[in-house]
Amino acid sequence: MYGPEVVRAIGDKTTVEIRSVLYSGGNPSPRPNAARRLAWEVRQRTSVDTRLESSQIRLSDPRVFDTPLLYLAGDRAFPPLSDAEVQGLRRFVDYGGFVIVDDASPADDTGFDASVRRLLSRAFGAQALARVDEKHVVFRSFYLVSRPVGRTEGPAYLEGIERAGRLAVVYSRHDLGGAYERDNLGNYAHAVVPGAERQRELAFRLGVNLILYALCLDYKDDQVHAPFIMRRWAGRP
Amino acid sequence: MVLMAQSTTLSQLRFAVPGGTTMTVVLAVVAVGLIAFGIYELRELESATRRRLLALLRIVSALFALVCAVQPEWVVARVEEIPGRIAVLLDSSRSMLIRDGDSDRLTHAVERLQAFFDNAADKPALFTFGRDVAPIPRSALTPALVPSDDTRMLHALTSLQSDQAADVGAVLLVSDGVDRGMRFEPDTLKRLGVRIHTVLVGDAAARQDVAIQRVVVDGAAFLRQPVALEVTLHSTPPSHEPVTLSLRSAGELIRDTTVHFDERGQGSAKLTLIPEKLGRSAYSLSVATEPDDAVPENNERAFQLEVTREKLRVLLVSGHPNWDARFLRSLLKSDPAVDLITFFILRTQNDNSMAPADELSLIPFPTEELFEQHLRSFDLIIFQDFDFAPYQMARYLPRIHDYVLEGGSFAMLGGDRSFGAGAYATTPIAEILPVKLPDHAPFTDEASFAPQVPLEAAHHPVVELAPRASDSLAAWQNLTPLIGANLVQQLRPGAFALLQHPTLTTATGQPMPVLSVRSPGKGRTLALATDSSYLWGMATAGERGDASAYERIWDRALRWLSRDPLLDSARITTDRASYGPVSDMRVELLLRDELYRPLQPGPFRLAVQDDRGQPVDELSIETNPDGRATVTLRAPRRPAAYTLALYMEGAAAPLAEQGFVVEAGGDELADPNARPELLRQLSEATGGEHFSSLSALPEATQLPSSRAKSLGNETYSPFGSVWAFLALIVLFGVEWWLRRRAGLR
Repeated sequence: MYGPEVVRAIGDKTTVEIRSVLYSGGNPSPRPNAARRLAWEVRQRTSVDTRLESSQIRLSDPRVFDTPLLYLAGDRAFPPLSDAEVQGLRRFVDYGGFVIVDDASPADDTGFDASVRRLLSRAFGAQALARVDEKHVVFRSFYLVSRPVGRTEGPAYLEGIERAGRLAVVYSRHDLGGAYERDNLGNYAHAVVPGAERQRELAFRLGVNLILYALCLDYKDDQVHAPFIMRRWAGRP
Repeated sequence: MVLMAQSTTLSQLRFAVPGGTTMTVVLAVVAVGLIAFGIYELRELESATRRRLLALLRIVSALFALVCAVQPEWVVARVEEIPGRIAVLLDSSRSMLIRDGDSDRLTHAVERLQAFFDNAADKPALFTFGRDVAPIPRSALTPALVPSDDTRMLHALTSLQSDQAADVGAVLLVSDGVDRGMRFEPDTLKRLGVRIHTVLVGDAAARQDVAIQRVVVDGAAFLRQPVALEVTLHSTPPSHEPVTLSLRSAGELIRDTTVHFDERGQGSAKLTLIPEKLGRSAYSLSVATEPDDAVPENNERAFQLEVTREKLRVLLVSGHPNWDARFLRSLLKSDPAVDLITFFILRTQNDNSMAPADELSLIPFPTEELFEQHLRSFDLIIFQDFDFAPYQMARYLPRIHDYVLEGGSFAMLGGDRSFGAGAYATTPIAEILPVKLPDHAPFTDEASFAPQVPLEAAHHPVVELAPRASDSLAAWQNLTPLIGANLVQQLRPGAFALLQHPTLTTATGQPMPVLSVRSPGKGRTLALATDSSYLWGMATAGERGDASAYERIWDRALRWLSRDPLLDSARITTDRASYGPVSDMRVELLLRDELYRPLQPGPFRLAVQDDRGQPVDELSIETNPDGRATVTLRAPRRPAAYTLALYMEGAAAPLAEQGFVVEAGGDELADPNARPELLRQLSEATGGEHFSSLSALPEATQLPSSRAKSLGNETYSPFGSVWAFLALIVLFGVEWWLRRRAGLR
C-alpha cells in the first residue's frame, strides 16, 4: 500500500517514529493507522526518514525516552493517569521530547478534552496550556499554514505548552488522525468537514509541520530565513 | 670643622582679640570716633588750657582702651640649629640609563657620589629611588643598580620622614629631573622641614632623538577582529624626514607604516592588526635607529593583547532533519558563546511536497555564499549526515580541505549519507578526516553497541567524563548504547581514536574507531561515526536522570576543535603578563602529549626568544609525574616583546608558547632630555642649593645641612593683666571728673 520501505538512517531504529501513547480507559487508538499514514506522508514529502511501523508505549515505561516524539489521541473521556504516568510525561518533555495531542471526539463531546486538560494540568500546571500564536514557527516549519484544520474545521488555533523556550506539547482539537486514516481498501476512512479534500491536504500539511517542528524547532525563525519567508507571505492572497 | 649648635629667636606680634586684624581695625575706628566726639564736645569751653587737657585725656583713654581691647601679644620662639646628616637620594630610574658621552647618566652619578661619600667625614645616608625609596649600603653604590620603572620624586622625599632618616638635615637629590608626574607644590615641600640640594645629571640641551612616546591600544581583543592602535612619536629636533614604524610579533613583521612629523616634531600613526591566535600575544613597535640617535632605547615599545573569542561561529549542515541534528542544534543554540548558522536539507529532488513553492517555507541552499564567500568566517563546520553530491558541492570540497589545513575546524557526524555512504572516500575531505573511508558497501552497521574508551585516550578532555580515569570509564558504561555505526577504516597518521567499537574491527585488525580526532596542518578535525549520539542525552537522562554527559562531550568537542586555550595539552603560564627589566619571572609548565597524557620526565627545553625570534635565554626542564614543572627566570634587561617557547629536545616545533612583555615603565624614555627646572624649584623652595652638573657639586662639608630644632615658645601679653584694667578705669575716671568740673556731661 505504501510502496517499498526504503530504510535510511543507519537502520530503522534511528528513523523518526511517531509513537502512540497507550493509556487505560478511554480510547487511545481512535484512528489506528493515522500515525503510520502521517509517517508515510512525511517521508514522501520531505527528506525526513520516518518509521512506518510505530509502537505504543505507556508514559510510565522507562523506554519512553528511546524516541523523542509521542502521539496521544482519543475520542472520549479517560480516567486520570497514574502518578508514574504523569511524572513520565513531565520528564519526557523536560528531557527534550515532543508530544502531539489529537482530539478525535465529535464536536459536542468534550470528554476527551476535559481529560487531556486534567492530565496536562497535573503534569505542567494549571496555566501551562495556552493558545499558540498564529505567527509561531510551527505554522511555517515546512508549509506555510495559515489556520489549523483536521478532519473537522475546529477552532482557528492550536494550543500548546512551552518548555525551555520551545513548544513541547501541541494540542489539536481538529481530529488530525481522522483526516489521515484510510480503510483497508486504501480509501480515506472519514470525510473532512466542511472543506472536502483541500481541507484534508491542509490537515496533512499541519501534520508535516508538526513533525518538522519537532525535529527542527525554531530553525525557520533563524535570521537567514526571514527575508525569504517574508517575501512569500506577502505574495499570498 | 665641627659645627656647633646655634640658637636663634624669632618674635611675632599678634592680636588675641576674636576676629584678629579685622576686629582690631573695627575697634580702632570706634576709638577714633570716641576721640572725635569727645573733642567736639569741648568746643564750648572758654579755657583753651582746659580744652587741651581734656582732649589729651580723651585721646590717651581711648587709645589705652583700644590697646586693652585688641590684646596684643608678643610670641617669642626659640629655635636651635643643630647639625644634621646629609641624605643622598640617587635617581635609579630607567631614564638614568640614557647615555651621555661615554657612559650613562647613572654611571656618571655613581662615580661622583662615590667620591662624595668617601671624602665626607660625616658619612651621608644613601638611598636610591625610582617608584619607591630604598636605603643602600656604600658597597651597593655601583652602576649595576637595578633600574626602576618610574620616577616619583615627591614620594621619595616624603618617605625620608621615616625613622631611618630622622636626623637628616639636608637632602642631596641626584637626578636627571625626569618626573613626568610631579607637580611642584611649594607648601608641601616646605613642610618637609629639610633643605633639598639638587644636582642635575645629564644634558639638558635637546639632543637628536626619535622616540615612540605613547602607544594606545585596548588590552583585550577578539580573535580575527581588527584591533586599532594609535602610536605617538616625537622627533627632536623637529624633522622633515619621515620614519618607518614597524609592527612585529614573535619575530614576524606584521606591517610597516610611514610617519611624518609636524613643525613641533610630533608624529602619529594609526594601525590595525588582526590577531590570529587565542590567548596572550606580545607585539613590538619600532623605528629604525639612526647613528646619531641619542636615545636608541626609546625607538622601541612593546605591548600585549589578551585575545579571546567573541563567539564561536559554527556552521551546521544537516542532510535531513533527524534527532541527532535536532539535539546538537539545541545544545549549540543554547550556548551564548556560540553563533550558530544551521541549514537543514528539508527536501530532496526525490521528495514530492504536493505544493507549489510559494506555499512552502523552503529556501535555496546557498552553497556559494557559504562555501565560497563566507567559508573562512566560520570557526567550525559540521556536516551531520550530509551528502554533498546532490547539491553540486564537489567544487567546494577542496576549499574546505584548504580551510582546515590553514587553521579551520571540521567535524563529520554519521548517518547513512555520511562518510563512505556519502561518497566522501575519493574527495579532498577524506584526506583531512581522522579515519580512512571505505569506497564500497557495506557502509553502515545497524547493531546497537556501547562504545569503549581506549585506555590511552582516557585523559583526552572530549571523553573525560570525570577527573579520575577509572571514574570516567565507569561513567561511559552508564551511557545509553548507541544504535548503528558508519563503517570506517583505520586511523590516518597523526589521528587518535577516542571511542572504539567493541566488536567491529578495521582491515588491519584494530578496533574500529567510532570517535576520532586529528590535527591536519594548522586545523583540527573530528569524526563521529554514528547518528545516535543524542541517546547520550535524552535516553540516558530518562534512565539515570542525568543528561550532562551529552552536554559535556559536545562542549569539550567544540572547545577542542576551536583550540580553546583552556584545553591546550601543553601550557606555559607566567605569574604576570608584563615584567620590569631583570625582574623575577615565575613560570609554570604543563606538558602533555596529544592524548593529554603527562609528558615526563624530559628533558625539555624552555627558550626565551625576542621579537625577532632570536634566542635570549634557554634552560633545560624536567617534569614531575603529572607533567608539571615550575621554574624561576630573570626577565631580559631590554624592554621588548618576548616569547617563551617549550620544546622537546631535538624538536623544531614548540609544544607551547606564551608571550610576555618587558616594560620600561611606559613613559620613562619618552622624553629623554634632562629637566633642570624642577630640580631648581625644589632647591629654591626649601632653602637648598642647585648644582647644574655633577662637576659643580662641592664636598659634603660645604653643603649646609643643619636642621632646626624648636626649644619652645614664650608669650607676653602686658595689656591682659588686672593692672591694665585698673589703669583704664583711673584714666576714664579722671576724665569724667574733669569734664564735670568744666560743666560738661
